[in-house]
Amino acid sequence: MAEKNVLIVGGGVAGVKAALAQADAGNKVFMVEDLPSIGGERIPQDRIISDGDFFTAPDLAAVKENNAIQVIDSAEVRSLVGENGNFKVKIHRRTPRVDREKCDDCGECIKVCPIHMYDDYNESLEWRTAVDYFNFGSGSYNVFKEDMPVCQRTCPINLDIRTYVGYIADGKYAESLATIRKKLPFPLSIGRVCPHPCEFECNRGYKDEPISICFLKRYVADHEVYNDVEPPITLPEETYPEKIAIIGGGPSGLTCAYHLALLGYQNNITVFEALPACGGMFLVGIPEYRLPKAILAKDVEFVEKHGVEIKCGVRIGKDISFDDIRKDYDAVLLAIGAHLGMSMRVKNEDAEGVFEGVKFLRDAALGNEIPNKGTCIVVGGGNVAMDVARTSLRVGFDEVNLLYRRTRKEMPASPWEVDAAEHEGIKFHFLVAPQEVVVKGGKAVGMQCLKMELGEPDASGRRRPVPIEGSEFVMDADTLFAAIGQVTDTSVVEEKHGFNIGRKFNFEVNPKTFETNVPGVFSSGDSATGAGIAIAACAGGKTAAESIHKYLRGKK
Amino acid sequence: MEKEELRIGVFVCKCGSNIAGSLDVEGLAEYASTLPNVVYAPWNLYTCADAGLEEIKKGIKEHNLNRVVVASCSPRTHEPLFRSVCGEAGMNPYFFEMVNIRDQCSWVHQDKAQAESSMDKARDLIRMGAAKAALLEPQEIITSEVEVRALVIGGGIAGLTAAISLGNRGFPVILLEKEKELGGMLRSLYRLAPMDLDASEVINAKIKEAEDNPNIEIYTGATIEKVEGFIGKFDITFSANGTSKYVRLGVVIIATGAGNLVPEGMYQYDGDKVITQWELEERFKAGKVDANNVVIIQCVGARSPERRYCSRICCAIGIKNAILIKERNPEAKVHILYRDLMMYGVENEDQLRKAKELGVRFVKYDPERPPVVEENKVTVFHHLMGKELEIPQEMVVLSTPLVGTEDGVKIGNLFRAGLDQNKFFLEAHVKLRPLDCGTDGIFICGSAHYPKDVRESIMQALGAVSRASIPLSQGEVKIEPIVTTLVNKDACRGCGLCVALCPYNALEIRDTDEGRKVNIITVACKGCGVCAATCYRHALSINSFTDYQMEAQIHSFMAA
Amino acid sequence: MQYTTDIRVIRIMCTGRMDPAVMADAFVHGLDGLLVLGCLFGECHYVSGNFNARHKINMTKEMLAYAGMNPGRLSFRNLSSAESELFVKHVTDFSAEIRELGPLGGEADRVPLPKLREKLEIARTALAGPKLRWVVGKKPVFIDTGNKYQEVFTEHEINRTLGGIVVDEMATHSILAALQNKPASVKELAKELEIPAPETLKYVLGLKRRGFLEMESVKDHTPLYKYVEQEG
Ligand SMILES: Cc1cc2nc3c(=O)[nH]c(=O)nc-3n(C[C@H](O)[C@H](O)[C@H](O)COP(=O)(O)OP(=O)(O)OC[C@H]3O[C@@H](n4cnc5c(N)ncnc54)[C@H](O)[C@@H]3O)c2cc1C
Ligand SMILES: Cc1cc2nc3c(=O)[nH]c(=O)nc-3n(C[C@H](O)[C@H](O)[C@H](O)COP(=O)(O)OP(=O)(O)OC[C@H]3O[C@@H](n4cnc5c(N)ncnc54)[C@H](O)[C@@H]3O)c2cc1C
Ligand code: SF4
Ligand code: SF4
Ligand code: SF4
Ligand code: SF4
Repeated sequence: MAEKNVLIVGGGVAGVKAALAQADAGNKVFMVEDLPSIGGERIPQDRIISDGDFFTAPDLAAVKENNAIQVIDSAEVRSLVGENGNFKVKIHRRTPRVDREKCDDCGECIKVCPIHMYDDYNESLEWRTAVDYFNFGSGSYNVFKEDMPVCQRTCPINLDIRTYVGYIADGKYAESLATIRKKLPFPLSIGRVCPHPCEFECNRGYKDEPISICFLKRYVADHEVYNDVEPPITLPEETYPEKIAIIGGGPSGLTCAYHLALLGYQNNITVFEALPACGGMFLVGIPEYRLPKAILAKDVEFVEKHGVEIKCGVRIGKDISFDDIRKDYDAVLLAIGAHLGMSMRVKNEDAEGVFEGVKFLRDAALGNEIPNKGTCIVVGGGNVAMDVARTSLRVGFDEVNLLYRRTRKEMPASPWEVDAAEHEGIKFHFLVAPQEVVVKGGKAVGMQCLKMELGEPDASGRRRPVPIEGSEFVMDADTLFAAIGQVTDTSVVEEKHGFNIGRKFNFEVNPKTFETNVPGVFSSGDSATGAGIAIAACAGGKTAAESIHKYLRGKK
Repeated sequence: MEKEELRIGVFVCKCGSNIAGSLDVEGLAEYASTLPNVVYAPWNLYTCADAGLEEIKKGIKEHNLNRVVVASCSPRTHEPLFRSVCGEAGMNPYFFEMVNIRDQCSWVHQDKAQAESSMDKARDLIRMGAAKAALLEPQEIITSEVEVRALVIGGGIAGLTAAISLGNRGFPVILLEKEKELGGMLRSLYRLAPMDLDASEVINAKIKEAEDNPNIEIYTGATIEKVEGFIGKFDITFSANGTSKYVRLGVVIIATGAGNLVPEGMYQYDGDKVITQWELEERFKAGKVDANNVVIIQCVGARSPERRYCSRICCAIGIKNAILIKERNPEAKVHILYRDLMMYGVENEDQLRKAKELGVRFVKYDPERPPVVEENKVTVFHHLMGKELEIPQEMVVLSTPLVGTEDGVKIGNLFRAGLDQNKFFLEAHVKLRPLDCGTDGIFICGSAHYPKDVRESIMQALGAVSRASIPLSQGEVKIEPIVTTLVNKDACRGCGLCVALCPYNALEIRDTDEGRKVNIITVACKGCGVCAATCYRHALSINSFTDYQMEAQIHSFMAA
Repeated sequence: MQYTTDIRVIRIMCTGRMDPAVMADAFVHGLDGLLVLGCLFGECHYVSGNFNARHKINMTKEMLAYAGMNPGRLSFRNLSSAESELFVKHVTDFSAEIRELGPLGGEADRVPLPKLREKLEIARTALAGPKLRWVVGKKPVFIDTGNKYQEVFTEHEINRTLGGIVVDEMATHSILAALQNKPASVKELAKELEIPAPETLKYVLGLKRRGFLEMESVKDHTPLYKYVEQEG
């Protein structure tokens, strides 16, 4: 029988058995294991079980001695193509931190390794140091620890938080900002508005309170502004000629533009923005009191200075057709956000005096005419609802009522926003669902509502509100705002372009590359993921930039 | 080996009344005689006088002393003397320990109220000294041969001067110049301030002198490829004109000069109508200067956040060239826009006066409101008049600073010689060793060190030569054995922790039969002790400053 | 120029010579205060010796403070050799500060004598041990040029790591010291050393795995551990 190459993915007990069987059958075996050593969870224990008297599992010893088996540890299978009998596999092996040629199992490194962690291979019963991971096959150690600290792992764009916060502690502000800007061009804006999921994970929180990761970012960035330091701009020397169109100048589009510039496409990137200025929801969603426009402008300017051309007031699909864009550019990013308010699906929703919350915010931001008299009702419990409510108060409404179906505990809005809104005098009405807009003379005058109580938890884990029979009541108002979510206006592209549209009216993309089903067209941010948070939109933009780079280079 | 019985002698000095004036020296001597292992404890009037030194020799012989403690003044001034006297009497000089009861006791505690406590202190210090003496080890002076040959890197005015001076002293010299021709910066200059000499004449005379000197081997078009070794034995490989050469040398003088800042993007610099002083000098040489309205701007790219230093020479250059323009055509209008004028010394001051007499106009500008260069005019805010001044111009000359070069960085890395943030070579100590590099046997001169004019470059070159001549003429370097030793070779893991921290690159890791071990380049070690304080295996120790000796001093203090 | 007679001078070539274990040893032997005087930063006669000293002294202070001593007893100050007034100021100030603190193990220190002496001795062994020395030795390198992978760390990050190691090393060396006296169970150790039992167990198991301890016997279903003599 002709010798065959066999790939075994996973070097646990089953993998080891299979490898030996295949080798016995005369095949050449490659065994890929993610951990630094084969044998699954047994190896380190083998070394301690009998107090110095080494006990080695016979199967593992057999693998080691069998020349037909090649163990590729610290590695993962990245892709597998082909078919039966003719597979091609791509294996990614992490660089081992210990030079196996030189390591002779002296154990000195274990004594001095500074990183102390639970030994997960001994049921966390004891502590070990990070380097203390013995590789059975090679007789050498390796470093085995989490690749990223929790905060960094939680941050959608994986900012190197430990380093930038550390630099601030050392008083090295410029270095700190440079660390942030390796990934994120918006430290001023994100430092103000990010709901900072990282801080909820911060280990320091177990002791007292989390590190103020978000505001520290704002602090270093503000420090630069107040000291009139020009943010340093460094662009690569090697450049590429391909032209890239970015549709939508929000956080996602601009981050993508920034990273494309850093990759060498400076002066070949054009951002098309429908509105008179850039910033997306940073500009027309998040209100001035949370993110001043002058501050935002500095972040945008920083991106622009990287050789990014920004064309405002150009709406693709109206001023320029998508076909023209496709013709003139080698790659396209759709980062048009989610700017259409979702419908409340109640009767008379289209009556005069009922507005989409996001439209109201947009008009307020752009200085357009907006309703501002009497009482208003805001429906919704998220951060957008908070922004609408707090903005309403600021533009002149006498009374602002906020309706939410569940209780305060279930509100998705950030707690500090809810506190602030309450403090400012917004009246909260919990466990209340809108039923019908009450109309008089073609104009909305109030909302008929239904009281609710909490039932069983639903798929999201939150307890589902159920209506209380006969509890209807009417709340009067001059203006009604719906702030229950936003979706993307995908009409930029026409049906003939053949984009797959997802469940949330978003462009369907490959979640790793952010490429749409149309080759050369990418989408990121809210228009790809549905309405989310800004830092996630930035993260998407960065990944999209890397994918566009690969796409363009791959075409060569 | 049988342990020799300890016989310590303590000599307490009166220093005339310097010590005896406030301390009871006889009482201290008596106290010393009661200390463990002390067999002899006399007092002297002046221990450092001939009689006192004889006493020490006599004491060693008559009482068979094998450790000597002198309680007197500062080791900084007297330790070498006492140490050598001990050696003359046949004792190992490093069995000597000195206690300072003058500068650190009698002189500084003269208050009557301190009489008692200062006696306590003196007793403690003597006891601590004797405790340390008991643990001293014998040492031998370290000597290392010096290859009598010098390397001079850089054939500018500084390098040429150094090479000629070394050659004249009879030392063989190798002079390396990376360009095809010798001469450096002076080749492109016109006249030299402040004496108004012809730069080409000055440099050509030097080049000729060097070429005629039989002791100097000159290589142009040269690049240094590899450097190994240390003072006395530098092994250098370089290539010149396509061939590679290897030489062993004793000392190195770095004279690689500096570069000119090209002020890209500043004041409309274009190399045509807006030029640098350096370009102006070339035009002078070619006789191509005919502009009559000239504006000179000082401090262009200097004394700024990215280059905080003052280049020192450009004020003199600006004024020199202003004078040259004026002398050529007294009708010419020359304006110098400056921040501060660094015209130090008599000759420079005279130049400044001369320029003013010739009608050169000086306008001080504020770096916050720098001059603006436009087509045909320069606008500058005159802070005394409090208004903008418009000066017509046909040519603008920018005085840019000398800057450190990448060549310098390369040489610095090869020789492990430190550079500052502006890429100029760093001296070992600004005041104590201004011509030496941190690494022994390497000296610096000329603009490689920081911007200098020709006179200063020559002065520094001569100074560096005199420093470099010391090891060359002695033929060997003598080193105090206060250095680190690998006291526990087995313990050393060859980890390199110590190697990375040694400020003098005196340590390296070598593969030996017993595995990777640290190797001490004793001639390079200065005995700072960082390595010993760091080694996690306690494999290293500093002669005469061991952990045990320091601990013994503390224990003995606490044992009172 | 006159000053207090409180101080005794020990000559070293450079503050870089200050070994953490030697500094700790001084306090083990009852010294009330230790002042390290060296060159100004950037003007060190031995280039970078005082920077190294600063790292080591800061670490030693942290360790000794954790052991219960008032960290004010160890101080690092700087001056140039020409500044005699500054020398007088430093020694006068320091002497006054130490007089204020009173003798070692008194009210100024968190732990009283003789317990403090025991704890300082444990701190001394830890400071002579490999881990703290290694990390503090690598500190300047990691801050300047980074590790082998060119990852540069901030001083803050390394200090935090060192802080964690101080706690670990104190615990480990306390356990080793206690077991050198007599074998003990985890529960007994936890009680004696005032370390929570679950953590004591983890330290003990870790030490056992590295060959510092072994099981001596089992008493009432509880294992007793004993210390294993180390070579080298
Ligand atoms: C009221 C509100 C408050 C928020 N508060 C926060 C907060 O505090 N913290 C946080 O992290 N996140 C917050 N978010 C979410 C965050 O703003 C978004 O996740 C983020 O802005 C998404 O970025 P994006 O680039 O994908 O889209 P957007 O920011 O929406 O940008 C898309 C851009 O594309 C332009 N565009 C659309 N169509 C076209 C076209 N056809 N041609 C040209 N240009 C076009 C749009 O005008 C817009 O400028 C908030 C959102 C809202 C609505
Ligand atoms: C525009 C201008 C005008 C000036 N006018 C005056 C004046 O009027 N009066 C005055 O006193 N001074 C003046 N100076 C200053 C004067 O030029 C310097 O003082 C002098 O050149 C310094 O000499 P140096 O030998 O140190 O350096 P340089 O003259 O720069 O010579 C250094 C030499 O080293 C060589 N070299 C560099 N790297 C290497 C290497 N790796 N290997 C081998 N060789 C290397 C270089 O090629 C060069 O030949 C002026 C300077 C400038 C720029
Ligand atoms: S165990 Fe650590 S110290 Fe020992 S040889 Fe391997 S890598 Fe080196
Ligand atoms: S020498 Fe004069 S022109 Fe040159 S940097 Fe100094 S002050 Fe400025
Ligand atoms: S002497 Fe110490 S620090 Fe230096 S290499 Fe050897 S073990 Fe490492
Ligand atoms: S004592 Fe100082 S100079 Fe000598 S080898 Fe050690 S660290 Fe280097």
